[in-house]
Amino acid sequence: MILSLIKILIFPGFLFVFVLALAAEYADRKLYARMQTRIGPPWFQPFADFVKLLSKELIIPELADRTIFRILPLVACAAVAAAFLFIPVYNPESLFSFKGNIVAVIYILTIPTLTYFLAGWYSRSLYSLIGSMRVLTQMFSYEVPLLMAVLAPGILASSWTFSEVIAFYGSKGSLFCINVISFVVAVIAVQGKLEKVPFDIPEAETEIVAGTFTEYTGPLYAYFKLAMNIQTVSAAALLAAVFMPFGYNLGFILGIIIFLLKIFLIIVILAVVRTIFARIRMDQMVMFCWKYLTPLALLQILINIIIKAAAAQ
Amino acid sequence: MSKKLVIPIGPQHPALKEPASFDVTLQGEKVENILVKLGYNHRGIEKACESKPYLHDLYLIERVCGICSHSHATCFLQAVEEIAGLNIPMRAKYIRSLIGEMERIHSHLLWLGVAAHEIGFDTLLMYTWRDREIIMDLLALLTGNRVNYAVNVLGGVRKDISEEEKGQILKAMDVLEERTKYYAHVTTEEITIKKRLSKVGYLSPEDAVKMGAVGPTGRASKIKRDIRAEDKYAAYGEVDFKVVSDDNCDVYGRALVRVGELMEAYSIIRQLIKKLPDTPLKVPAPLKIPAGEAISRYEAPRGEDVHYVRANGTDKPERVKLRAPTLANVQAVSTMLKKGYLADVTIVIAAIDPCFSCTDRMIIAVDGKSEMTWKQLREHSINWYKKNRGVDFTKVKLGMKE
Amino acid sequence: MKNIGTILFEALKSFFKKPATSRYPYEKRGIHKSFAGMISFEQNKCIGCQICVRNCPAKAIKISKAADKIFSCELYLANCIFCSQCVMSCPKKALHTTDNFELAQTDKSKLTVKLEELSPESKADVKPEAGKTAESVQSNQDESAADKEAKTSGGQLSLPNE
Repeated sequence: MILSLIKILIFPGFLFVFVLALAAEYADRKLYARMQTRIGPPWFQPFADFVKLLSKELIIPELADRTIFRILPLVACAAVAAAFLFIPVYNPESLFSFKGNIVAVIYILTIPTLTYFLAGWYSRSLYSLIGSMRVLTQMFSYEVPLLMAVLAPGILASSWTFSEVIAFYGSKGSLFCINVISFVVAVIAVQGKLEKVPFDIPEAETEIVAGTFTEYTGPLYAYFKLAMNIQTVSAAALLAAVFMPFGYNLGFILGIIIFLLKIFLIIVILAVVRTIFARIRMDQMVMFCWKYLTPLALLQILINIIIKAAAAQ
Repeated sequence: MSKKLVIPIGPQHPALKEPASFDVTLQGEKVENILVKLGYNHRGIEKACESKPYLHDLYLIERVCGICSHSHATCFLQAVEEIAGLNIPMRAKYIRSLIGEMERIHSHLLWLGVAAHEIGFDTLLMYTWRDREIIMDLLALLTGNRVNYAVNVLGGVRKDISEEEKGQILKAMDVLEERTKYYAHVTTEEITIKKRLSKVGYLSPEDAVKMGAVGPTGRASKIKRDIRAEDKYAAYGEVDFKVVSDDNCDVYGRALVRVGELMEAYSIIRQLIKKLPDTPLKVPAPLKIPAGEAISRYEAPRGEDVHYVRANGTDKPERVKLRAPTLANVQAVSTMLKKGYLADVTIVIAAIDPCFSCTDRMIIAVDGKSEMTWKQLREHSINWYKKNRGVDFTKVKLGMKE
Repeated sequence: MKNIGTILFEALKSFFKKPATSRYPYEKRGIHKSFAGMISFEQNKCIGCQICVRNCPAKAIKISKAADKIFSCELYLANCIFCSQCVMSCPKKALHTTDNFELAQTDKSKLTVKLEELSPESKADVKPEAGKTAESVQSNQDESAADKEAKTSGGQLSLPNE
């Protein structure tokens, strides 16, 4: 009982994910800055920002629904942190394992996006309203390819459970390389999920101020920012577990190091993508997701089904 | 979503660097109508000019705009010098053109960064602004200031250019030319930039004329007009350059025109440095300017800048009127944004390279009405001239349909 | 595919380059000696003709009589627009521009500076120091100018691509 509590609260639970989230934000910001030939923030900047935001005054718009306005950031934080608990860290078994937990993680990871939408909607601000509409529109475009891309490796392993997918690919050597198409699709879709350039349309600073978060200030905004960062880590861990299913049975320390390296790699990819592109428009985003990403994800599923059928014969 | 939303862009908005207000009526994500509201930045500079001697006015006029400070100062001085009948030495004209072209370079590099920022491409913003630092440094070396150079004086210029400085200028031009070629490559190749810029903010040549678009905004709509070529002020008669224009008529075209003008500016600066004649820097100028009036035109980085000065024989001007290029361009914004998206609003506004504090002038309400039709305005001016000047303009025919 | 991520190569290259920004208050970049920062004043040259006062567009400078044929110059930094018109106007070349541009103050009273009392050492924080004669200030200024020349000689223009 106490051991489980420690696992949930400290490692690999909430404290670990909190530190990891801040580290991820630092890595992202530093990489982004260095690629733009800037110096970038010092290592404690994300934590300092978090503490500073917590100490700031909280202003709630008069017309906003006060209860929902306050609850939403915490819901977002809780959802993403909970999602992390189901993703394996150093051993194939995640903290709580059950059949089909990949699907569960994807669905839990959708909750923060919905809270962003609700946050914008209940702020009763024009910019927030437009931002929340964009959040929903964007979600409908990237969620389908993301789901298909993340589930594609599981088709080959005949399972949508982390431990079984990892065990299957672990015994097959470098077979996981076959999923490279869906890995690319998933990374792009995750970029959309995390609302970063080129898909930062819902919070496009130069268009709608801060989108759904326009009215959020102080501690509540700090929790939203934290939720965003944990979401980055959770999504990276999800991609790591599904598309890089190796290095899970090498013991505690080596396992952690490999896990961190994988997360770092994905954060590097995300940072590079956000460095080299301009923000695209909502209509272009929808078009792009349905015209290119979805067919690519379908192609991967088709490939996997064909391979599976060929192997069965 | 059939309900219409009116989104205020400004007076305070992250996309706008200066206060101006645009009320965007939205139908979903599409723009239905846009209302431009200026006037948050009126500083009364024209009136202040009338109460100060010419020497002080020069510094005041220089502070009309933070980017094209040299343009306004030169434009104002050209008018005053014309009234006073001063013959500016050639070397001074060359140095004025040189600083003017450098200002164009720094303004266009700045614009490139701002435009990139508006479409969320912050990396390009950081790169262009980093390279802009070269030209800012150079201006600080040549004039002693980074923004308000104060290089002009009545009758010439204040600072000379030494041989060593010539070398530094040429060196910087080589670096900048290479960088600009890279930016031209990025702007024309990178797909996300192209997607965001091309076919956005379309302004047909006819509309450009009707709305009075000037400068790069007009030139991107096939209006091949450049005061440097039409009314060769300063040393522009001595150098070879072509007027860059584009037939895309959209934001992409405006970006291309500006990148093209950067390349032209490097070539102009090289020619000016090579030909820099050896004459005195200035001629003695009187404190009191004889009575008279003059209009001076200048191709500022943002377009045609017009200054009108009327002197009355004292050391203070009687009237100073200035028309910044943004005032001519800002009218076109609502035309450009017809059937556009909300996401395009800020980049289209940024594409005219607006400078609102240069633009803001006072509106005088006639008979309590703040708006005048074109006809009323014409009648008012005809009556005014008849009463105050004894000139009858009734017979002057206008090319435009009334 | 060729035109997706055109800037990628440049971005990766920049990653290994020295940053173009600097940690400003800790690391300072040199500025040209010709920079028109705060002006300096040579008391022994001033003849009290008041031309600089008349020509100043911002009413930032004041020349007052300190003793017989000795004039004191007061500069209001809050007013000064750094146009260096006074330097141009001075018939005796008693005013010069300096490269001192770090003039921000939290105390408003420190923005009014008696230029002849300003010792070159305390230039950065603009503290008026009393009790120095004009000659000693003069000699100090000459020394520091020579020092600066030694420090900032060589390429003044910094180009990032070099």
